[in-house]
Amino acid sequence: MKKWLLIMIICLALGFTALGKTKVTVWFAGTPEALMEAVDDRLVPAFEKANPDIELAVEYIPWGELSTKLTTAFAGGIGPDIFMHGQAAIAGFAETGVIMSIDSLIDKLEDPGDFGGTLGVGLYRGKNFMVPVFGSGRLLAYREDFFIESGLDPDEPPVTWEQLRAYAEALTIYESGRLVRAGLDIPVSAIDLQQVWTGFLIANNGTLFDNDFNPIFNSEAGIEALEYYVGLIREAKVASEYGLTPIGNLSPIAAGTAAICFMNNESLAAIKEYSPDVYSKIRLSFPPARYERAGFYSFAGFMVSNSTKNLEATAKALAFLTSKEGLIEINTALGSLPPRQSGVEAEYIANDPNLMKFVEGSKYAYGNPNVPFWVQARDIISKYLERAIMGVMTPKDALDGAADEISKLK
Amino acid sequence: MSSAGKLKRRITVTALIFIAPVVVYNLIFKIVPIFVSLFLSLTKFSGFGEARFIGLENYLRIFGDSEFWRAILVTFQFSIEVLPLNMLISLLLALLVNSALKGMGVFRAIYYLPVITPMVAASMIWIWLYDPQIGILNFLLSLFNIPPVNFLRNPSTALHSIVAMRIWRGAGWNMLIYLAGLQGISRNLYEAAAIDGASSVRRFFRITLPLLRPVHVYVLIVGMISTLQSFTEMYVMTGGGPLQSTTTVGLLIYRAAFDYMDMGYASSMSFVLGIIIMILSVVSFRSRQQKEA
Amino acid sequence: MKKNKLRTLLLLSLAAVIFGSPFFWMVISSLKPNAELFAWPPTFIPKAVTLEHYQSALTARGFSNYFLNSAIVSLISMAFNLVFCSLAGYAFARLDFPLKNILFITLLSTMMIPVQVTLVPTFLMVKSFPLVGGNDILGRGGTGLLNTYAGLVIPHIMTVFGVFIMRQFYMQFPKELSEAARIDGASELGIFRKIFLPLGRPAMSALAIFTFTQAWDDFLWPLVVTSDRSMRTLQLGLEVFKNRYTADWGPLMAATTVSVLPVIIVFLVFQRYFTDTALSSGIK
Repeated sequence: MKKWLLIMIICLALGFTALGKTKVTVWFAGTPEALMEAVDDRLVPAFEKANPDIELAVEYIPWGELSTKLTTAFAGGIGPDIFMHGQAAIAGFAETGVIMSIDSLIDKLEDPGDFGGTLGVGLYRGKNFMVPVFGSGRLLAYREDFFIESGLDPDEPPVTWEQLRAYAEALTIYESGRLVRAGLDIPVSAIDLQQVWTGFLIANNGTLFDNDFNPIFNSEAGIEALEYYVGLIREAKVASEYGLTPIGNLSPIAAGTAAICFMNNESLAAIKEYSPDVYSKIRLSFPPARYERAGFYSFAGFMVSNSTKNLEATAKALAFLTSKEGLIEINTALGSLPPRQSGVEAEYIANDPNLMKFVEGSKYAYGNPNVPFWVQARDIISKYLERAIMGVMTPKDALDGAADEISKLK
Repeated sequence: MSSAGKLKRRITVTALIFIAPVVVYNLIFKIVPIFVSLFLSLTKFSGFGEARFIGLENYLRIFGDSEFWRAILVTFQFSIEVLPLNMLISLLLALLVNSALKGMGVFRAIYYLPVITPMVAASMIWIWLYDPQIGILNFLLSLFNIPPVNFLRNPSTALHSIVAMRIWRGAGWNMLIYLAGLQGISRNLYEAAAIDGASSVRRFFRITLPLLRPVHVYVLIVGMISTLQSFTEMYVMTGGGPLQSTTTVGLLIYRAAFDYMDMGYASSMSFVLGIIIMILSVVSFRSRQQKEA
Repeated sequence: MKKNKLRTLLLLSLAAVIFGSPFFWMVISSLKPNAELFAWPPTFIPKAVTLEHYQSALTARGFSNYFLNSAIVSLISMAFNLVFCSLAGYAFARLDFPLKNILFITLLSTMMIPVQVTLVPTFLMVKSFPLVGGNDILGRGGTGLLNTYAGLVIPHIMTVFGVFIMRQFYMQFPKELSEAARIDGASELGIFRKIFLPLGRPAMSALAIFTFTQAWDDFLWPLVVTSDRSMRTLQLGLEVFKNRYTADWGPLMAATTVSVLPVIIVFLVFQRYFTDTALSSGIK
């Protein structure tokens, strides 16, 4: 009799816990095997063990398809509770009310002070919307063998704009009118162009937008920065106005068709894998300065959707995934830059001098501004920058045109 | 009822039964979403939250949107360059492989490969092909001392370069259709003509080409629809640049819907494009119908 | 005569090089180790051959699942289209009934609205399909046909495009063919089954190949309609090898090669009907 009672009680208890399980859905951006392994095999079981009443349902969405997937899911009312996206998406989601402010959840995170400045990346209109998870940055990369060939000292990379131009000119090789090696590979179109050019703008003490979200990049500082950029291409001819394209993972600097470029850590890791003999010849330095140095760093992080049903469970999941251990797992899997200061101690970084350089370079970091319509604004800026580079518009007209068109966005 | 009337009724009933599944199905899963999109085109809708009714504002905005009309020109140019060449090459390929010789299947499969090679691989290979520094095409040009051409990044050549890739990708598809069509033409006709002394060229122009007319209609209309809606190739190969020279309407629609969260505007652009396609299709259809009659 | 054959062979081979080389380049790449993949100058015969990429690709999480899902979806779509599109195409081509042209043009017009914009409404319909996936009779509360095979096949069955092919093909035959059979007293269904179904083999082969290809290659719809990893299809699976700025090209090339093989098999199976000489001589 007693045995049956015991069994019944156990069954009831199990039944209740099964009924009582809350489900929290988390969407990760990116699908590398290492990431899935770290999360599925280690993080999720650890979380569910510590929180037996919560079920953590994780999905991985390829970067290129994030927007499509999120739009359809939220339109159908089945969006995830937590999702990862690049910081550039914050403004749009916040404006349309898709995500909620995480201000109330910050003190539930493990040691929020450990994030340092990166926690501010998610600020929009005074409220915070994103907990950073991993970052990538751009530094100046150059081929020390090409430096030596052209009589330059590889231990003395260019520090000022004038030096950058002079070095690039010395490194450029033309053969019977054909550009065989570009002294400096700089982007001439699309998102890359906007990101890298903004670095020159900021190094020149300019900014993209003022506090009221008005475009002010067409200031003197901006025009000067664009004139310099265009001058590199059209006067000094250290790069082609058509730009250089990577083939698969073979970036121009690895193929030998460029001597210097602005490289992000993910591409550098690919070079290590796919062109190992070239990898040892590549060196990093911080972006050159006008008044200061500026390198583009961006963070992707977790955002919480407004439609989340169980905020408490969601907050717990968020805190766990962004804990010191959680972030170390994720960043090790991705080989990316950790948002936490404590994350720098992780093995994969400490053992990689190039990654350490990226970490060091974050003191010069600038990111995307969180303004409404950022994605459109960015595309407009790129569009006009391209025109200046192709010689279709003067730098001043281009920047004025971009500012004008952006002001019309409502 | 007369026996002619009975026959007519029998035919009508059979026809309606035959077409019912397809018609009902498409009514539900294609026509309803189109009407929903039509409704969305009259709203401001980000994809989340509410769709705010704004009447014809989106359409008025299209009217003054120079980027849209530029894209229409690009799209038309793309279509005009792709279609005739595509049809010609596919037909030639079909004629080439239209024999029961052993091993013909292998050749047909090879010509079909571009159709099924996933975009992610095909694009990488074509980008390599076109590269000004390390691409094969420019290597060949350099052998003739021709200066390098930056196929994908030079505004004057970018669209044509994508046209070439599209023709390469689509030839195998239409080849199959023409091949099927060629089977529908009776061998007897060819034999009779051969006996009469007609050369193979004459037989082609007098028998094959005219009898393939329904197939031409299909290839033309489907080709038009597909090229006028195109966006994947541009998205992957050039991102719409350089200087918007490869920005098609399909690309603008995709951006508006998923990058800029402006579903309402995306829907209205789709309808304007859809109506243009419809008008062109009806015109081609009707003109062919009359020829057949 | 021999000169003719030689010339044909030459043309065939030239075309084969133009159309086939990118694919063969992809296959060769899939066998190269990472360090050789992007070597310059490129090697046409790999210095080192490795199967490691195939191993990575095939053992990647869920890969065999994705393969199976794609196969199921494509085969179902193919079967449905073969049956229903040929019936409808035949009717539109050779039977007279009221509103025939208007109905056909209406169907055609559904192809003209770009898919980007009907994506969300179609998704909503699939999600709200009544009485399935936890939905009540008004389609609320659950996920409808999301994450199901039924949901995945929706854009690929009974396609207007398929009806169009069959219609154009069937229009090629002379009216007398049907009329003669009717005079002989055959039923409508009989005419279709005994005369036009066999005649339709070349077009139906094309239709089979096309439907299979389109369903197999579809990326956008499966992306949107599945959130369950176990229901993903192969094209989505290929994305696993792409990162934010770079990609794992080796396993990607291997996975891509593997993903192309089933379509080639379907192609080779059906393409022999294109030169079924017994058919075309049967028209007396």
